[in-house]
Amino acid sequence: MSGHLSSVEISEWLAGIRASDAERHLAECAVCAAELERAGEPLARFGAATRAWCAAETPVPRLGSVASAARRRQRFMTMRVALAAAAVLMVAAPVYRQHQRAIEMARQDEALLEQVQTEISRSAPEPMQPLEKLVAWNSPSGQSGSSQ
Amino acid sequence: METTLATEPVSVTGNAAVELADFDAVVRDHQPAVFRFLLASLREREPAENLTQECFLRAYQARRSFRGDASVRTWLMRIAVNLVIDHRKSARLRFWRRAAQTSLDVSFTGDWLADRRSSPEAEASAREQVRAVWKATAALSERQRTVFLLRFVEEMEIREIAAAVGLQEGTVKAHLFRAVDAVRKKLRETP
Repeated sequence: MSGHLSSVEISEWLAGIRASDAERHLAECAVCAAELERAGEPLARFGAATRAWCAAETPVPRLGSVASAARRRQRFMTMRVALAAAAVLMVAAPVYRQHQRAIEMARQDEALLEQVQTEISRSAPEPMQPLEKLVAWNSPSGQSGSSQ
Repeated sequence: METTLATEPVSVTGNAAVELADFDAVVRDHQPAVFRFLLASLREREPAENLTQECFLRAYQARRSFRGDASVRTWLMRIAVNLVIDHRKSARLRFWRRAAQTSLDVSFTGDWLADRRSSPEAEASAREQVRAVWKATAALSERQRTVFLLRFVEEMEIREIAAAVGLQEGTVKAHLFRAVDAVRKKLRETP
C-alpha cells in the first residue's frame, strides 16, 4: 500500500470492511492508527452516551407480564373470532335464504316455461289428442312413409 | 427496507432452547437492549416501551418455533427491527419526519457521557460530537440508521446484524460504510 489510508478506507474499516493491506498498513503506520482511533472516537462516544441515556430510561422489567399478556391477547383474539363468526352468520343466513328463494323461483320459472313450451308445441288441444293420432295415421305423409 | 418475517417456523436446539424455557429470564436479560434499540430508533419513550412489550409478546408466542440458529438476542433484535419497520410504515406516526420538523432535541444524550475526567472544554467537545452524530443519523436512510444503531449502540457483530435485519453480511457492510461515511462527513462540517 502506498501512502496513508484514505478517508474512505478509514470509513470502510470502521464499517467492518477490513482489507488485508489496510490491516498490514495499520499495524505499521502509527499516523493511520491514530487517525483511525480519532475517527472512531465520536462513534464510540455516541454509542456509550446512548447506552447510558437508555439505561436510565429503561423501564423495570415486568416479569410474568408477557405470559399473562399473551393469554389476554389469546382470549381477546378468540372473542374476536367468535364475534366475527356470529356477524358472518347474521349476514350470511338472510343472504343464504334469499339465494335459496332465488333458486326455487328460477326452478319454478323453468318448469312453467317448459309447460308453456309443451302447450304451444301441440298442434291440437289435449282433449283432441287421440283424434290427432287417427288423422296422422291416414295423412298423406303417413301413406308416403308406408310406401317407402 | 424489506420486511422479514421474524417469527418464521424454526426448530429449537441447544442453549437457545434452554434459554427460552425460562421466559422471565429472557425478558430480564434482554429487555434493556431491546428497549435501547427501540428508543434510539424511535426517540420517543412511550412507543419504545410499547414496542418492547410487543417484541417480547411476539417472541413468547413464537418461542416454540424458534430455530436456535441465531442467539436469542439476535432473534429478539430481528423482531424489534421488524416492529420499527412496521411502526414507521404506519401513516399515523412518523417519528423521524416529525423529529426533523420539530427539531427534537437529543443533544442531552451527550450529558450521559461516562468520561468525566477530561477538561470542561473536552467534555463540551465530546457532547458536541454526540449531538452531531445524532443529527447525522437523522439524515440516514432507515436501513443505514438501523445497521448503524445496531453496530455502534448495540455493538453487534456484522453477522449478528445481518441475521437481525435479514440481509447478507456484504450488504450490511455496504450500508454501514455509507452510514459511517455520511456521519463522518457531517462531523467534519461541524465546527
